[in-house]
Amino acid sequence: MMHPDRNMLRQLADGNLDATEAHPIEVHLASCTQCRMIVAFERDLVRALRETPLPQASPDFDPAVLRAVSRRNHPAATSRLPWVKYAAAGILISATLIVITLAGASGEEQSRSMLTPVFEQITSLIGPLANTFASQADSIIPTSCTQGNEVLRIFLLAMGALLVLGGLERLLLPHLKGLNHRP
Amino acid sequence: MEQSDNDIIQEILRGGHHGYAILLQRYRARVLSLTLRMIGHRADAEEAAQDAFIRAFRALRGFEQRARFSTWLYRIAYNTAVTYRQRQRMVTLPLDEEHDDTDAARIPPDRNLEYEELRKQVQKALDHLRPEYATLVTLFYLQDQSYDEIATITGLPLGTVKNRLHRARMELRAYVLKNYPSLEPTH
Ligand SMILES: [Zn+2]
Repeated sequence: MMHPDRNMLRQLADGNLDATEAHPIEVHLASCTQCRMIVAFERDLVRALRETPLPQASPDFDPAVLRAVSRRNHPAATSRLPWVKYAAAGILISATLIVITLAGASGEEQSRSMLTPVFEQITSLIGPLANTFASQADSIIPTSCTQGNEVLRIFLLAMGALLVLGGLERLLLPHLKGLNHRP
Repeated sequence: MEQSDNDIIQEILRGGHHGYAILLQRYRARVLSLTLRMIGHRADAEEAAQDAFIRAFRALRGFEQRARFSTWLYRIAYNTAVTYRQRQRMVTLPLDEEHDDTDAARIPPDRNLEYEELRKQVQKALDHLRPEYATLVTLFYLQDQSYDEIATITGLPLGTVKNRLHRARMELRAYVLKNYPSLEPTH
């Protein structure tokens, strides 16, 4: 008996033959057990490959991926502390400035303490900046109350400091996060 | 009806986050099976698979839908696994190692062999295949990728993909047939 070419039997098993190619082979298969077995084997081989059991991922697989992705999408959501930090920093800066202002107003002799030089240093550093802020604000908000300028200056300076802090964190945090992010 | 991958991606790009979980659920095991075939080491394979998902999700906006999402994802997973393998200098499984499996040897040659037995043999054969062949076999039969898609995923020329898959199947067949001499051709 003339058996079909083995490669043709495999092609038939894989479903790669068109009807005209397949027909004579199928006629042969009807009367040839051996070729039938070869085709059946090839089909089982493919089926077994397709039914390769899939590995089970560990339970933390999805959560770790989702955490990493949401961290990137919402950087602020990962740490709720920044607001507390900003508020604390703001209060601290405001308090310092109030002390400086009051110390200046009440006369140097009486209130001179160990901290005064430090305050003077700070005032000389940020004083011009604060003045600029205050004069800017004066032109924006025309106010008749000149005494209000001092308060406004402190307020604007605190706001400015908060902005700088916030900006720094925005810039630096992703890099710091990136260092210890490992799923 | 099941939501298509592209619909899910559109939803994610519009700000929805539920889609990530669906895509993970859909492809987690398949991506892991690919990285596992390539890397061999379980923990590393899992880390590589997670990395691949994270990279893919972050780059979702860049997915142009010219290919199937699965092909795009497997390509990222493939490249991630390649990087892991290079980093860890994984030693590939020796192919010519003498295979001495008592279980397999005990199976009597039986013309009416049970499919379950054959399935076990095929899995063993797959484990003995060199990783670059086993990877292609996984992509073709398990991940249901075409020759063209596999060429895209691996960056291999189409001819190489076809050739390797042909050889891989020959090796698998030869391995399994060792235990079933009755199926060896007599013509
Ligand atoms: Zn025949």
